[in-house]
Amino acid sequence: MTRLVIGRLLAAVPVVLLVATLVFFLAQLGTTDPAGVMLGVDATPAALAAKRAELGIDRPVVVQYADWLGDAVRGDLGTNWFNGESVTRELASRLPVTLAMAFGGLLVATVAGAGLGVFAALRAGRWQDRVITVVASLGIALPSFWVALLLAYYVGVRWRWLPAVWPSGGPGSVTGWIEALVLPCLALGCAAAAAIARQTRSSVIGVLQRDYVRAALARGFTVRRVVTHHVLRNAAIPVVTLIGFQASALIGGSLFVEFIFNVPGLGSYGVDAILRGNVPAVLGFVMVTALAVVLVNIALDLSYAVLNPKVRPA
Amino acid sequence: MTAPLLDVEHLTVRFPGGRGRLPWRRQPGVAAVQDASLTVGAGETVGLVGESGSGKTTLGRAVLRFVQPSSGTIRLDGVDLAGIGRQTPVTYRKDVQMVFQDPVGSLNPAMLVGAIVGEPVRIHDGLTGPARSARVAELLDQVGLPAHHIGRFPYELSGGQRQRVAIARALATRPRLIVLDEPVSALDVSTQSQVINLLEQIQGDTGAAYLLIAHDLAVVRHSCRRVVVMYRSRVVETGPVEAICERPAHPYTALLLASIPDPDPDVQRVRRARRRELAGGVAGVGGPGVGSGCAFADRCPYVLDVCRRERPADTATLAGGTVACHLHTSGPRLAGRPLAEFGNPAGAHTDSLTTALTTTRRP
Amino acid sequence: MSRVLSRLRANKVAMGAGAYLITVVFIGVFAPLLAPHDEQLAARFQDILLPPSGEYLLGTDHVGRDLLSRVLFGARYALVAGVEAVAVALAIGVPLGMYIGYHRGWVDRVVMRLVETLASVPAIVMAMAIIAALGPGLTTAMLAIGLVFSMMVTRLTRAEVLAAREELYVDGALAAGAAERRVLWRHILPNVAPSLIVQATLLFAQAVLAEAALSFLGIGAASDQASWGRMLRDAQLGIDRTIWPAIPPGVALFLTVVAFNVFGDGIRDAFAREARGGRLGVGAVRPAVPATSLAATLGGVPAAPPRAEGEPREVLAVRGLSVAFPVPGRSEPVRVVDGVDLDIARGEVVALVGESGSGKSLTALSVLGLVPDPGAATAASIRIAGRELIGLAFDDLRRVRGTEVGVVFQEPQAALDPTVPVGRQVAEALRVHLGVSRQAARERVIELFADVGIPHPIARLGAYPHQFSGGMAQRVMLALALACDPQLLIADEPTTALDVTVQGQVLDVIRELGARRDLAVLLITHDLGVVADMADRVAVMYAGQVVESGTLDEVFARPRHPYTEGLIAAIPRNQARSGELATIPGVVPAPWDRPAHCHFADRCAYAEAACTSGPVELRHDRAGAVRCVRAGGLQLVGVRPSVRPAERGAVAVGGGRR
Repeated sequence: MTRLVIGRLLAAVPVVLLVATLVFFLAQLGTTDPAGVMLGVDATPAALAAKRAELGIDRPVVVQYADWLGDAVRGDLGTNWFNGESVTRELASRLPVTLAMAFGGLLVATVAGAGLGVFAALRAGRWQDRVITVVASLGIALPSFWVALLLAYYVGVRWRWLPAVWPSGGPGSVTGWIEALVLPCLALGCAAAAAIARQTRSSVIGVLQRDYVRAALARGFTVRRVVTHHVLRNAAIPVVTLIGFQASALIGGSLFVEFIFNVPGLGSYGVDAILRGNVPAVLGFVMVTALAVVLVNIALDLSYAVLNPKVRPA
Repeated sequence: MTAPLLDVEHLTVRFPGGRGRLPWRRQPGVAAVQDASLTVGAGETVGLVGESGSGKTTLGRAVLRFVQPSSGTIRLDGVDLAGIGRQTPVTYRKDVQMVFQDPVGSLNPAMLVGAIVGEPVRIHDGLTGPARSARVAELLDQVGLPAHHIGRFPYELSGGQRQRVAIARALATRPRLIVLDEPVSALDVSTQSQVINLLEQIQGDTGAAYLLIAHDLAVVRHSCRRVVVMYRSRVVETGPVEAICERPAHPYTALLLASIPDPDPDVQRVRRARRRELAGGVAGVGGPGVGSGCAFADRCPYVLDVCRRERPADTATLAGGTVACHLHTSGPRLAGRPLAEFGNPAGAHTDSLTTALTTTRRP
Repeated sequence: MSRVLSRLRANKVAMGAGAYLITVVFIGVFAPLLAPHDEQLAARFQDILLPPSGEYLLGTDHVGRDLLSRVLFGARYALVAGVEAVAVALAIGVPLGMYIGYHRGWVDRVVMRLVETLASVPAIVMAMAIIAALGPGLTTAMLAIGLVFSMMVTRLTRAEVLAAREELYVDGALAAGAAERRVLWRHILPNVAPSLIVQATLLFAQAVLAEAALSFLGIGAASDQASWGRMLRDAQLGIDRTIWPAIPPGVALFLTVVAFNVFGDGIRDAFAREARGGRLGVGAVRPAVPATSLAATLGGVPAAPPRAEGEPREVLAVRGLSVAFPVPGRSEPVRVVDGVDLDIARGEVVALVGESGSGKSLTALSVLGLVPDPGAATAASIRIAGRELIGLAFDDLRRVRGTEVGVVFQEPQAALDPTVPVGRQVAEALRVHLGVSRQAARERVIELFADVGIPHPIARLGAYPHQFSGGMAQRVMLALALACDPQLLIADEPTTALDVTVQGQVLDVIRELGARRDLAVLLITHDLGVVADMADRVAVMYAGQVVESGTLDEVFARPRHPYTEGLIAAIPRNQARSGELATIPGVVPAPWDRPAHCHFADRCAYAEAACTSGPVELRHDRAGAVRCVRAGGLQLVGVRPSVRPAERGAVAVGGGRR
């Protein structure tokens, strides 16, 4: 099993580098001139040229790439063009917040979604199932940023139950953290919960029709036992796949949620970088998100092996 | 003797393994068919019998050129297929057709029956429009389906009707050889007999040769003139069907015959006793036997030491077929004789048997 | 195609969604005519953030523009965005996916590696990166989205094509001489298309959402274009004063996405071929509505020969069992099993034999109350070991199932949980029903495995079902079935999925264990040979009814029903050939097509006028039971025909003396 883990981790490295390479060359297609952005419209050509030399963007593309790659492998993701800070340090400082938010959102989504999905599947055709199915179908259509807006306004501004904006300087205490995270996690997790609920429901219904479930019932076990011991494990596999997709989507959604709640996480960093054409920051951001998604997928692959004996290494 | 229509010699089909976790290390492959030879004469029906893992379906698919042989030759009318090139020429598809086991999966669920049967007509005869429809109606009539089925989808037909459509499609090119892969296994008994009779009638009308792949020797006995028995990727016995079914030469063939349950309780009682005698060890999983000995050695009630060491070569049987079994290579006195003459198996290696072997062993 | 459309039409919710979508298209096209105000200019620059009123039905935004007009215009952007993105995605994804799915090889590996790599970047991030390179703007944004979606479409198409190319009809087309290109486009694509259509509809929804998201961030639609996402961005600016400007565009966005999703689901359901309904179907069998015929059956002569005195030997006694399913298009549920009686005593093997559609499997399973949803079983009486099951509470019924009855199913691999080691599955039954400790259960399982003939039982305890061959897996099923020492064993086609040389071994084990434990065995099969191998008594089923029953010898050597005769004659036996095989003309009628008179009449060579006049009763006598108007008056041919072999060729069904 450890060999599996190590193998996957090693395989992840070229993936992340490939992503970064693609984005690097994509960024070269951009037409905005960062020197011009930084110095303003009335900068002299000489000043612009000097700035470009300082940033290193007047060199041939391949040289820039090799340079950047060499640094990146050692952990140095370059310098933020606009404030001179180390990109690595900036990302590192913002990572915990985004992780907490994404993890919280995924947790909410998985627990609520899977729970509702199983519940609905066991009462398929009855009113509880119908209600949950309708709610879930509506839920996946909810744009996370709209939900965030509404939550921020009603819960944060109107009713003032929870903060609508991230406390400046960071939340002081653990309760502060939790309070500040509730709304963003809810906004993030909503659509994901609906999708997970739908997939869980259809997966459980599918398993309920399998022969081994009827065989287990033929042996006189209670429905509860059959569900907990035999159905859930088998139904989990496609749901786990979906959770993998949702993790990726959640990171995308975090861009918006951070924007609305003013959370100082990776998402707002990335949006800012992309809007301003801050190439090193964009690259760093993309690499980190890619790495996060890859790690989540590795974890999911391992859980497949736990759930499904057929894919375990012999 | 005229050259046979289909001549398969020493055919081996090996499937490469998949990629392992490390890209440079491949999984070991599987040899689905090893060193198999058989012939089918023009207008003849030859049965190919075996259980799961015997390789019979792969052999059939190799004749249809759906899989590449790893070694050996397949000759149709004397022409070696390997020499034809990578793409299968349309002329070959005209001469050799196949009817598949699964009547549900072998017809495209999104196509009308008329289109399914009409496709080879269009490809080979180049007919379109009313001329094509006329030919399709003619083919459906040949298999006993009324013409209004042309406008139906496969899901609207019963299993027997679908199989008839599959046969009509195969007949469209006026083939000289039809490979039938378990054509009636998925059908009910009452439908089975209808389709079997239909196949015979068609053979009488068109003169096509059949290679009938089946696991049920009773069906094969009814329909075929000659039989080839396969076990775990190798041919173990061939010969005229009556001889094989009455006086089998290979222990596996005998076990197969004894395993077919007969509806007559008295007959079945006798057969059951014989089956118990012949059942040696417990059946393993299918697939080619590993190791260098005879693949049947671990189940064979007559097993000898040499069986575990060496693979038996083909010997001629008295009935005119071949058998691959060490019991028959031990000398002219025993070679080619039916199994029954070896006496009862299962540890009751009678003295007569041992004596027979020791006195006739080649120097 | 037409049945798909009719199913879609019947789905009212989906049709409602479709109507909504058509309205949106209409609005988008005619927005300039429908909108009361201008999209981009405010009527009066001081009319900022007004609530809804007569002039501005939905109020105004932060620069005084009418919200209603903007929402209407927003429909255009949403639709254009969707069309652009989906068109790009399909145009790239479908041909690429089809090519690599069919041809595979190194192109497949390279493309899939690329796709999987890019999939690890969230779609929005990827789109933003592309936009950062190409510059903002609605069209570039949708191009970017389309590129990202095309990866999903490629994946999906490839997966579908991979599955489709293994289908036998592809081989059939290749055998017919079709070139590979023809196979791809004429054969595979039509079968892959339904899933692609569903995906395209759902992608449309995602594209609309994505456009809104990008415009919300400010990199999609330009600042004065009335895209719904842009409107939400504007609304956020005034959020401390009022949230209202965020409501109309949000609702419009939400409804449109919901409509696409619902419509897409409707299309998926319309194409789906499997039955719906996920309920477990474990309720008890309900009491039958008393009917006149039942009284006659109940009063009845026992189907088994009278027993010697001593303890009661009867294990299973079923009277009047019927199973009905609702069929779409029919007001009444259709009876698939019609009024079946069964009796089995200890140590006796009773075979229920019939072809597909006879209802034999349903009969056996419904004895336990295991009727698949939405079927319903009713019976006058079902007694197991003297205990009446009708009207039993669920908990009591399931205890009976666990301890008195064991079941062996047809496909051993499918009937075992693939994720649990077999030892634990068998032990589970012991521990749940008999309360045995873990150690004791383990020992008992080892004993059971040895009993059923599994070699090296201790080593096999931890193995998983997929690690067993068919015959071995069936033995595991047997061990499971016998774990709690039941009195009745139900074996549903136990050997059909096995190779013939393994079949005999499994049957031997069943027979041996049955004799040793004095079990009552109900064997369901279509194979007359298996019946002859195992059974003491036989009941022949045709089209939901028992048509003949009696001892093995009686039924097989001296059949009294023409169907039994036909069945026996049609089987190829291991005997010298004698002419064509006998056949039974026609096909088994579908459950809803069964006539009210004798079900077999239109295929029967002996049918007379009396056969079609009314329903035929099952008549019992000393030799067994038979459901035939002409029973006793016909001389039918069984497994040992008394005529000489040479004459048999001339004897088709119905060759006996009339």
